[in-house]
Amino acid sequence: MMGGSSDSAISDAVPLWCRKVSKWHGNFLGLNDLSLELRPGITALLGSNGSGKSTLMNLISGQLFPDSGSIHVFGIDPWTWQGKKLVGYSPDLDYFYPSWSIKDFLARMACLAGIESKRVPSLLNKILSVVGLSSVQTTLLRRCSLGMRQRAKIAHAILMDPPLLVLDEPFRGIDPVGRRDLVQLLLEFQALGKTILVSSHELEEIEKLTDQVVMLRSGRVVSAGPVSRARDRLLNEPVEIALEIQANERIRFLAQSVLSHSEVLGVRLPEGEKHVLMVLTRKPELVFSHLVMMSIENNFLIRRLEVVDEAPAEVMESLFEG
Amino acid sequence: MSVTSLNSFLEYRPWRGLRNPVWMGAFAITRESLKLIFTRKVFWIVFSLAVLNFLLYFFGQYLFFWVADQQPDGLVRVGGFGRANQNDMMQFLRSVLKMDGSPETFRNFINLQSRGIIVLLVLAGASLLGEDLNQGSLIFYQSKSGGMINYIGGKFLAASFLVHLFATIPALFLFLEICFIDTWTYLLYHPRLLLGIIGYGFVINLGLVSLLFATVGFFRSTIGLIMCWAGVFFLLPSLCAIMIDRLRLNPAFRVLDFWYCVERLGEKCLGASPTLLPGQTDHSLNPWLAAASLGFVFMVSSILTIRIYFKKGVES
Amino acid sequence: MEFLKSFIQGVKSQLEVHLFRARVGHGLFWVSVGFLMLVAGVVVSVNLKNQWNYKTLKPRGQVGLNFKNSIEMIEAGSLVLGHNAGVSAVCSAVASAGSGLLVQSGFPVFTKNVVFSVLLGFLLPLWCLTFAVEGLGAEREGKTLFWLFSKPVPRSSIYIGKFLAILPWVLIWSLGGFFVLAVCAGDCGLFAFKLFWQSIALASVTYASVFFFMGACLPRASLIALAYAFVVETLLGSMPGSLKQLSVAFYARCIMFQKSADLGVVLEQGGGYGDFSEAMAICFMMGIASLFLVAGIFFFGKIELRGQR
Repeated sequence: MMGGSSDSAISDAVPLWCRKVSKWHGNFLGLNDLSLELRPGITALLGSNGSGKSTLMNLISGQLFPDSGSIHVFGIDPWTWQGKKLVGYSPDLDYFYPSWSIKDFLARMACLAGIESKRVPSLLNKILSVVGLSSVQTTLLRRCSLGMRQRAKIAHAILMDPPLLVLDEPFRGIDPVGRRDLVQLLLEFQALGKTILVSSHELEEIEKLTDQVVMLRSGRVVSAGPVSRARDRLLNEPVEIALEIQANERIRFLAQSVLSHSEVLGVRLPEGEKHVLMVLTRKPELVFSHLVMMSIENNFLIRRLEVVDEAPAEVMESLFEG
Repeated sequence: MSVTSLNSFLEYRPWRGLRNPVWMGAFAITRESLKLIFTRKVFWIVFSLAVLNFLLYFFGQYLFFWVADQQPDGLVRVGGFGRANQNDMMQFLRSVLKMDGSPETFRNFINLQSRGIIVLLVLAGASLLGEDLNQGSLIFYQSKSGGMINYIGGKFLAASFLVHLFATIPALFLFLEICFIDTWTYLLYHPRLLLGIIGYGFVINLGLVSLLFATVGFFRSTIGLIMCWAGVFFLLPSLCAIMIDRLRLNPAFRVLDFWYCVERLGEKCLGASPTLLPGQTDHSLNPWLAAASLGFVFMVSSILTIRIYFKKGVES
Repeated sequence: MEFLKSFIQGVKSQLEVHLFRARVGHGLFWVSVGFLMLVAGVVVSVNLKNQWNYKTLKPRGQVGLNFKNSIEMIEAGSLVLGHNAGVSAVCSAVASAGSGLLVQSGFPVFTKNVVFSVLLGFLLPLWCLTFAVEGLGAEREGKTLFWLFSKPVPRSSIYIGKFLAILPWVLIWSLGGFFVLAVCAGDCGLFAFKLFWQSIALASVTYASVFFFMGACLPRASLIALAYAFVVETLLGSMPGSLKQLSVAFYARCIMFQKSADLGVVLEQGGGYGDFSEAMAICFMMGIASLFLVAGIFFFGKIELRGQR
């Protein structure tokens, strides 16, 4: 797998090929000029809330249409009906037909997907046992627990045996035993040569699944590739610290003295906020203690001291240290 | 901070203030429901239309008394627009627009205003009552000491306030206006009118609010409410018109038309003389029948309301 | 070719899954039932008072004939009129005698008061709305469209399939409601039903198409559909002048007007219903229905499932 590939030709063999994809949600840019290419195997999609994970997955599964750029799944546009055959998608939504049982739901979905009716019973038996729903198949969907509904969604995604599986938060609401089974299941799919894209906050499970990670942040790919590469890049990326003090007359003096620290890459005074100083650094911990010491020495009061955008660092920290 | 001061800070202190009586909670519910309604755009649209109608009547009355004050049998100068015959103007204001401070004036005014109330309640009634049933917030009211009685009472007051805000209060203002323009003897000569305005207001209040409670409780959504009220305020009158005005059935069938009954009762309260609408052939529904119709709707609505809201464990 | 195959497959599977599972808002269905019962009650009470029963309105000088005879006479007359250009004088005389009876019977009264105003102007739009808006509207509101969109069939087949799945309900409900009213009204009602059921069916299909479009493509579809039903169909449809030509009910009335005019009964003078011939009115209604179907397919194909970033 590689990220941001340039002018590689669209091949029918490439499971997923996105080029310069942008998607707006009203005034909010969900995805920003994103390019991505996936190879068979499991890939994890990481990022904080609002980083564009679900938007990307909706685009790949053809539920959204890109505002610019193009997406191809095995050479076919997923927005078209032919493309829908190739993608099995388990979305992060929790809306069902409440009065149907799990088995009816899957049988009707199979019917809508155009699977021959004589094949349906055997197929359902197999799939229900694979996702571990055989014993509760007659339960109405409105009485199902979150974990059962989650499994039903995964069963729906693999109904048509698609070569590309897109799973949005599949581990949410599933108990530890279920998670272990699901990890096992996904690894089996991988062994069958399928391509799987998983997004999750359950980093423990992601670690067990794969070391191929795509990290999104504000609609862009921050890093793509093996985990080690992502860690290096992320830990080296400068972070911005916001420092707010009580009185503003000394802020320029403060800026000068902060700049003298060796780990500070730069400072800026944001417009409109008179009491705030933004400090750019690669080692926030060192700068933090430096700032605190300075405040004691020079006798000014700190109102606020925080890392402005710490989401990727936090995610990576919990991924590797937690 | 020393240990002792921390202790005193964390220490449990009994409540020393005065508690309001439990039933006062109803007013809080009223206040909050009204705030909710005031945030709706539809309220301000309907309200501004109602204000326009009020101003029309306000200045219409003013014009009438002003014209009547002018020199008899002369020409009246109206602003810069020219002159008009005083008698013609009086005639027009009195018999066509009926803006002469008579019972008919108030009847027409309140009838028009109550159309506004119907539109408002049908569009915003769901946010007044139905949302609590739909979104499961009823449990908060049930858990309070006042319980559902406070809830029903508070909501009833809120809906009644809206009714009086649109109908009774502006009508009383009109009455006061005439007292000021004419003489205060107007009040002495028309005490029935004053009582009639208040009475009509309460008839509308009783009818509409009880209907609102029952229908919102049953349908819970604006769509169902609109369909049901369209049946009551549109289908029933047209069915009655077909039966009585076109097919000449017994006029007592009008008892089916709930809104006609309310208007008829209001007419009786004010002592206004009945006026036929275009196409109407008969206007002689016994007021007791009208009162029975209103009473029937009130009874059925109350039973429904009690069954819906006082059922154990209202599901949401 | 492949498209066509999967289109047909999509429509078939939609019908299979959704045909007997029409979802209706629980309140709306009961309001519709309530309206039907109310109007039926009124029709029965009018009938009991003999206000449109032909028996009390026997035409002068034709005491021996009853309503059924007269209908047979009209039909015999029009049959000959329709098939034979050389009209026999006897037949036409028989036919005109029959239509004279018909004019004085309860048929025009019932048609004018119940079918024209209450049924076409109020009940039919509401009944069709109850089922048609919910067709795809319920999927939109319940956010279950995803389950339909993730299938490898064209969007147009989903739209058409769902439409065909609700259509039987709309037709059963509107024709059934009309039939109940007709039975309540007695012989003249049944005669009206026999004469008008096609036009009512066509009107309900047109309504269904319009409301189905609203449910599939517009936000807050139920409110918009209700507003349309009341403002355009009920208010504009009963206004004098040519503004009522905007309503679907107008064209249905045109067809009915022509049909009864053929039998010698003029239902409403000066309503403008004679301006459109029967064929033209049918074309107009079918045009409206297909226009909304095509527009619906177009806009439905562009729907993106937002709101789940």
